[in-house]
Amino acid sequence: MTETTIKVLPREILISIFSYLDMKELLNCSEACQLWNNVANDNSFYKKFWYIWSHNSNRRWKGKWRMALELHPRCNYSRIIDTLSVKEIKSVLKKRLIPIKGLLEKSELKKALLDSDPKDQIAYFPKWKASFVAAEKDSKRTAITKEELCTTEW
Amino acid sequence: MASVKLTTSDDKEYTLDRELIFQSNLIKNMVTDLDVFDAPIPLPNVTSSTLDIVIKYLKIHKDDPPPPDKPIEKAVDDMIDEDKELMKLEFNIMADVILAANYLDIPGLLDIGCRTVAWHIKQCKDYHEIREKFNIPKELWRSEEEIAEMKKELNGILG
Repeated sequence: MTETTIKVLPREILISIFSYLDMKELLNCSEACQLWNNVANDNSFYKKFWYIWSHNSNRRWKGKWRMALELHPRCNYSRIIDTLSVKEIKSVLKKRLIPIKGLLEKSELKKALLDSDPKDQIAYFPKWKASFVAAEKDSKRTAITKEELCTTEW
Repeated sequence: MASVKLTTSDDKEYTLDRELIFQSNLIKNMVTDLDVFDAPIPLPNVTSSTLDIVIKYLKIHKDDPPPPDKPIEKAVDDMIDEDKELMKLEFNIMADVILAANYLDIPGLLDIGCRTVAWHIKQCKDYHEIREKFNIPKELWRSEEEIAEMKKELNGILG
């Protein structure tokens, strides 16, 4: 009989195990072995994660499931720029308050996105993980920027 | 009371009460759909030692009300003492039990299995400890630069 280890668990079970973890523990798991890395870095996993957490969690994501899944603006996209669609780039630029009127080509949009990337952030991949990490970190922020203050409709 | 016969992969035969084993959706559907009562149901993926643990769980939860359709998220260690006691297993056996629960479709057992593993992961400080705890061999699948990059990522989260 072959030895069963915890490694043999299929993806769907790993997903339900990982859904109990927080961000740091999840990153630790993703370094443990290749399969776990594969599961924990997958875009579909983060989508599923979002679904589980926003539906029946007592964390701050609770009840947010009505909101569409959107990429976070305060995130360094330099590593994953090629996986983003035009629509996603436009929405991020819009949230970063960068005018996109004159930008017609995708390459121009990409350049605008790269130029406005926050340089102090680490470039994560794939896109939903990057966005998720940015959102988690942003939630700990205590100061509001000048731009946000000026553009918020009170 | 009607009973159901099961045969495990190592050819042991079990005779169980229907009420007990009907907590497994797989067996329940099989028996009610196919109307088989006498012929033993083969379980090629489950060994007798694993099934023993599953039966222990079924006996603890015999009188539970049916679970709600929408799962409620509980804290990782929010389970009754009998379950905690039951889940004090070697990780390879635990993996077998989780797989069996998945195969037999016993949502409650699958849930406590997953939560126990999550609890153990939570006890680990870093990925070295996770590897050690779960006996995961070290794999060389990253280059040096990637490891450095990843360490930066981990520190970024902590900061």
